[in-house]
Amino acid sequence: MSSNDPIEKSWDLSLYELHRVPQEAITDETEIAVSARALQSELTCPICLDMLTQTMTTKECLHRFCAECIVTALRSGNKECPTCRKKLVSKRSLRPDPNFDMLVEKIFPNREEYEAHQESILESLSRSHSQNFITSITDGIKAQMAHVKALNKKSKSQDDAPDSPHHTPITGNRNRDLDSDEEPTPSVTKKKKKVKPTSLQTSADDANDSGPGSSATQELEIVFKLHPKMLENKEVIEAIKESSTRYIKTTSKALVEHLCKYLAMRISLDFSPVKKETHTTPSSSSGGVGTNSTGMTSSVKDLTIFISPSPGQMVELTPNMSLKGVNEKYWMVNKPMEMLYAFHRH
Amino acid sequence: MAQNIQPQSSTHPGQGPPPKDLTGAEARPAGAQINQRLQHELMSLMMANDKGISAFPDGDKLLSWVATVEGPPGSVYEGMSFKLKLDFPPGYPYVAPIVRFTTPCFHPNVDLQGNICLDILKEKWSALYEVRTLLLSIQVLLGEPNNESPLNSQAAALWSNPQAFRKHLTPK
Repeated sequence: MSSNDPIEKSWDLSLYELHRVPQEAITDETEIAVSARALQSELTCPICLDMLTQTMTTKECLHRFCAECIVTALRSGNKECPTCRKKLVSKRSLRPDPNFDMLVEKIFPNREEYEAHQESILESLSRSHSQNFITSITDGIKAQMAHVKALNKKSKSQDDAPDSPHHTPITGNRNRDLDSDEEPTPSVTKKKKKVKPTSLQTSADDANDSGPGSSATQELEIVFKLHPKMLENKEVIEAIKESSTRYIKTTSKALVEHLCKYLAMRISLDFSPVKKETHTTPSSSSGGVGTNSTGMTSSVKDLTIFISPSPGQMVELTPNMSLKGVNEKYWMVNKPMEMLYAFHRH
Repeated sequence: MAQNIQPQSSTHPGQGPPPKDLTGAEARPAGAQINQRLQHELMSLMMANDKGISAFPDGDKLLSWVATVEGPPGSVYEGMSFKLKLDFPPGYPYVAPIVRFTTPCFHPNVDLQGNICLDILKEKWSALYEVRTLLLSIQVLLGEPNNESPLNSQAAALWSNPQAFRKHLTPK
């Protein structure tokens, strides 16, 4: 700085200065904005890819990292600079760089705000790909709940009606459900809807558990196969051979009892429709629905369900067990439970 | 500290906070950190739009990705594309991810199970590598194998004969 002879100093313009295009001086209030993105790569820790916090600079090669990041990196791996592989013996090869921290702070005075913004962008990004999937699931659940509610309302009004006195546990509601999709094998979700309202009505103490509000609880998939001993019964085989294996998805709160009733109902539907008509009871005023129900309830009896936790092994399930309990006790594998069923006919 | 003072550091204005401060910095949970880093990577990977490589988290979990690498142009693998699986251990990025080919890959440095012999996936790993750079490295490795330490010796032996090698690649 201190030159001995300032008078002799010449002020020639350099080649660059002679050729450069003069820049307009900014005289008004114009502000030149440098986008945060342009600076980001300079202020980013290459390890965590976040903005530098507590900057540490390597003494040899002058690469910058967050204190936390570089210390962890040194501790967990090679003793070299992550950027250029220059040897870093220990933490002592690093220096804190508070000037840089100050610089970051100056450029991003509202750093927390900025980071929160960044985070929200990342979050929306990471969610976007699964978003459609999730919304479709929630929509599905909503639709199901609405359906269950509607069914409950209907069934209540039907229960109040004085014309279904002749069978206690199975109400008209269930039969109507089963009736509605008699011919094709109903889809899995349809079945689920059906089982739930049924359990609401058949056992009052169960109503709280499996109410519409809890329809989002865990669901279990079950594969039903005909019990081997049933194979001897030719009449049965003939009637249900095509649909002897059934797939059900339902809430884990359902009881074995509910499954029994449901299955009995489904199976009786498979026996010839002529049979049902012969059982017609004129007393039921709810038309065809009531008619069928009487036929069905009487055609299948003593339905029992077995689970085979391992091939060849069969355990009979008691009616008051919940599916959750069955799953925990006998199954515990992440695949549909395999159950067998057997019944008698009238 | 005294023995560390070197010319450039003694003129450094920021002698300030002693290294003790470092321990206080490790307050953030490791899980959040790795997720954040992977999200950053995902974003930059999508922004960069590199040719011949792509990667995306496998399902909902961020710790397992599926990647695609196209055979480098001009190599025997030109026109082929390979799927890889990347599993990020909890120590990522301080520990290398586990990268494996899921598409069968006949290559001197890839074994029959899809394991890759690549120094930067092992002892030469650095926290600065990321999915993008890894995939680019693997793409380069496809075209330029290291025949000195082959995992698949048959492929290494055939490498010098591109025609025979190419024949081996195309399914019969």
